[in-house]
Amino acid sequence: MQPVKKLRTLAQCSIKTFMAAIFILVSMMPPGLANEASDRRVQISLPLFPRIVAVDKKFQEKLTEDNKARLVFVYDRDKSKANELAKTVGSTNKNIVNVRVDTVPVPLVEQLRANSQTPTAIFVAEPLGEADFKELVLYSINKGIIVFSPYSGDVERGATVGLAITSRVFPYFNNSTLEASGVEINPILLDMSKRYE
Amino acid sequence: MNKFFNQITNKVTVFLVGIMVFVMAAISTHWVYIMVPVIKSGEQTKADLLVTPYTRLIEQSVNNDNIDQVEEILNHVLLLKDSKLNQPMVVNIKVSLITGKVIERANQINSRYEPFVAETPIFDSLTSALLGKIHLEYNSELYHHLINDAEQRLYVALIAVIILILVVQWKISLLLKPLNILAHYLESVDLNKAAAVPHPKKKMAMEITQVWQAVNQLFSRLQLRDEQLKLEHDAAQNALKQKLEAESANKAKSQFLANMSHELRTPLNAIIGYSEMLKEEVVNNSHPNLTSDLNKIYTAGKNLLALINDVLDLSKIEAGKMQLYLEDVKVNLLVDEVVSIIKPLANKNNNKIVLDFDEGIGTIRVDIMKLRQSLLNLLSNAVKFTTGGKVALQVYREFINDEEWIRFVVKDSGIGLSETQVENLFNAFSQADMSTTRRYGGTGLGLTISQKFCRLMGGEITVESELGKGSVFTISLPVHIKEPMETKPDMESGMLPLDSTKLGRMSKPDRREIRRERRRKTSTVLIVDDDPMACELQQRHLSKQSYDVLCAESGEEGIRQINELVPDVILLDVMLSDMSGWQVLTYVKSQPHLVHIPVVMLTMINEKSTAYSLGATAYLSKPIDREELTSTVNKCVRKAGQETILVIDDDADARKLARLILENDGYSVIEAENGYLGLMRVAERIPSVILLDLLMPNMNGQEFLNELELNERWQGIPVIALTAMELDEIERQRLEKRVSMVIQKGAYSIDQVLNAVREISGKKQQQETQNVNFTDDNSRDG
Repeated sequence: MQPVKKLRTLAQCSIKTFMAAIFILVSMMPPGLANEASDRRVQISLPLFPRIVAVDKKFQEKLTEDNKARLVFVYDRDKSKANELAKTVGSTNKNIVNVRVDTVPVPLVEQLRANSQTPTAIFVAEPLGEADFKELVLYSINKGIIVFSPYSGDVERGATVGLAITSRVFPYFNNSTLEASGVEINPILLDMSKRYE
Repeated sequence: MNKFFNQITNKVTVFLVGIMVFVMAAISTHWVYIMVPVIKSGEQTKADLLVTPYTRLIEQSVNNDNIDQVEEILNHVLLLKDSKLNQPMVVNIKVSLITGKVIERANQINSRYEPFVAETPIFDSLTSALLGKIHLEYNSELYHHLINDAEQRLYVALIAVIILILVVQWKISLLLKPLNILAHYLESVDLNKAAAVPHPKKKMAMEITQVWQAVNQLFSRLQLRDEQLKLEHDAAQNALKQKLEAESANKAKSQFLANMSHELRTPLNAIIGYSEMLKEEVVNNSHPNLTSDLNKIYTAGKNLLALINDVLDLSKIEAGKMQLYLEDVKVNLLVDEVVSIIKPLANKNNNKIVLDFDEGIGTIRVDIMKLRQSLLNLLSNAVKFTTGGKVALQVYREFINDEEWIRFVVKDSGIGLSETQVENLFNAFSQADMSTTRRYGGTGLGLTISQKFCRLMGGEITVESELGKGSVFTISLPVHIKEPMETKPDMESGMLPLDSTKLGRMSKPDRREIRRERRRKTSTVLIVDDDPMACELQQRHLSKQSYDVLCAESGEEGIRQINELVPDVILLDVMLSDMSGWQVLTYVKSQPHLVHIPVVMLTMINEKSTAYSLGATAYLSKPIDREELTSTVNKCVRKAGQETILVIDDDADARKLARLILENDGYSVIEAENGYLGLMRVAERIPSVILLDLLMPNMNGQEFLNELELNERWQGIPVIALTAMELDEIERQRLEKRVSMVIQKGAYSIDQVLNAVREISGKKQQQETQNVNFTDDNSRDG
């Protein structure tokens, strides 16, 4: 009986050691690997976002009262990043199709409030949780506006448009959300884009 | 189909084709589902990558409204060529503006294939407004070239594999060709003229050469074996011829012995019979001076008969026709019997017989006649060659190799034997020396026959002797010898199956003889024999035994008298003048009203098996020993008129004892373990008397009696009650109403039981006779 117990103890020790090693390896992995890809996608998205807003056929109907295109960068926690993205887009795109652009970072909770101001389009500045994202998609559908999310998988989750990256970068549209929100995109661009049915 | 797959060439081909099909299927699947999409995707990627850098340039040119620059860029793109095929990479490039303006440039390529298409939008860099799109058609010739190239390689590989398979098949058939030649040769070769297999001209593989050599070796061995077989066949033919000759000679010898024994026994029959009769006449008529002469004639006749019997025994043993009739024999009783026979001879030479054995030595399963004969032979030799000395018989059991044996040791203080004499002792017709023969007589066959008897029973006789000091002969026999055949009664001496427990009692005349005599008083014996002298001798002898004896001197006469008289016993000679005794026997046993008559066959020749198979009751060899004749006829008569006693007792030993006592007194006994089985026996056959134990399981004695009373036919059966219980007056009175007698168990003697049975059965018979007489009287009166 004794040797069996010893073997078992050894096996348990080995498993524990292995699990510990895996944990150490995972914790030592550069956290930026995933973030880096996301950041790149965000960077690529920034020039594309105003262009997608520009091909919205009802773009003119979604301007603010002072005839500005209000591009909202929603965030949950990272206000500075949203702020930075808003500034970047705002500085490189003063106007869209001759309409002045106003880029603002807005907390998601605030944007979803009933009395909040309806934007022309929304850019998802940081990855959102499932419930929040779902609520945001419903909000965009209700308001008939574009939600642009550069993060992988968000188009499948319901974002109006995102990125499809192969040997080239394509706009990636969610047909269902487009249909539900009534957003109409210029067919020339739509033909050259990737679509999620 | 099976034949096709049994060929090595086809097997290998099928195997290779299988592998080829499998590999080709795997490669094709890999090609279609993995490689082609990968190549296609690669080409599409090239198209995408090509259009991306030019998009920004064209976008800038369009923003600046510089159409010439756009055209310059398009021309530049069209000039690009693939380094492998040296063909233009782009088939067509087109810039479509939202304003409706289209700038298009194309290469003149006659391509059969659809190009890969890459499209990208053009935006206004300041307002982000969509300006149009770039449409690029990438030349797919390279893609198809790659595909075709790979497919051609696959086809080549396939053809190569097919060629390889064909080559392998051809090579294998080439290798196996010598085997085909060998097979054809072996199929057509005449084995009687088989020589070495002709070697093929071409060089063969080593393995095939080995087969070739092995076949040649086989042929050589076959030739050798044929020669050997021929020699063996010749030898077997010679042996068969010799065997047939030997069998013929043996048959002739047996026939000669049978004839001789017949011819010798016929006069001996008269000599012994008449001399015995004359002896009685001489004693009765007071001529004592003739007694001695008559004794010599009688003794000489007897000796001659013994010699003939010995010769016949030896002849049968040597012919392998001697049969064993095994039975369980109580050793102490056998020894008593043998000693009682040998005692007078011992006394004659003033020898003292010393016995050393345990009375409870138990039983041995042997042929009692042959063991008795062997023991008598050793003991008679011992007392014959010892004068004024001691002859000891020691009997004991011992275990050898887990097998139990019994040894009979006969030790004498006689003349003893030299080593040479011991060596020749068991040879037929060989005595110690001629002087011994002259002085002590004997044929010299006794020991030989005894030894052969013992060997037949799985044992042996050994001898240790010292000249002048005496000899020790030992018979060793296994206690349980293997059954050589179905045990049959040994009727050699004319006796019915001999119960060894009765040994020692046979010669004691007592009251039982008187009773037997009373039973046989009116019995009729018919002798069928064509020898008038033999007929007369047996008639006179049996008449003295109170039998009513009649003679028939032919078979026909015999059959007539058998039908008229329906005798109690028939004595039937085998060799009759008009027909054989077997025919008469067959006739008797085929007639329903005669079949019950016991038939005793009288014959010179040994045809015991034939006699029993045809239904004979007993068998006597001529010349007839008068004692044997009397004994046999008595037994036959007793058997025919036996009374049956039913013994009901749960104690097996008690039943056995009762059976021994009653059977010895001439009764037939049936047994039952309890009252219930007793009733079944009574239903099968109504007994003369019932011996009933009162205390038994299942159905006790009282219950049995109650059941007996319920059946009218059974009410008159006499019952003797045996009980170990102390009966009170009421029980006794109740029993006395039904039973004839109550005997206290444990206190009764043999005579007490016998007397009771005799008395009760006698009363019953008397009562039956009276009833018959009464009925007769009534009928006369009527």
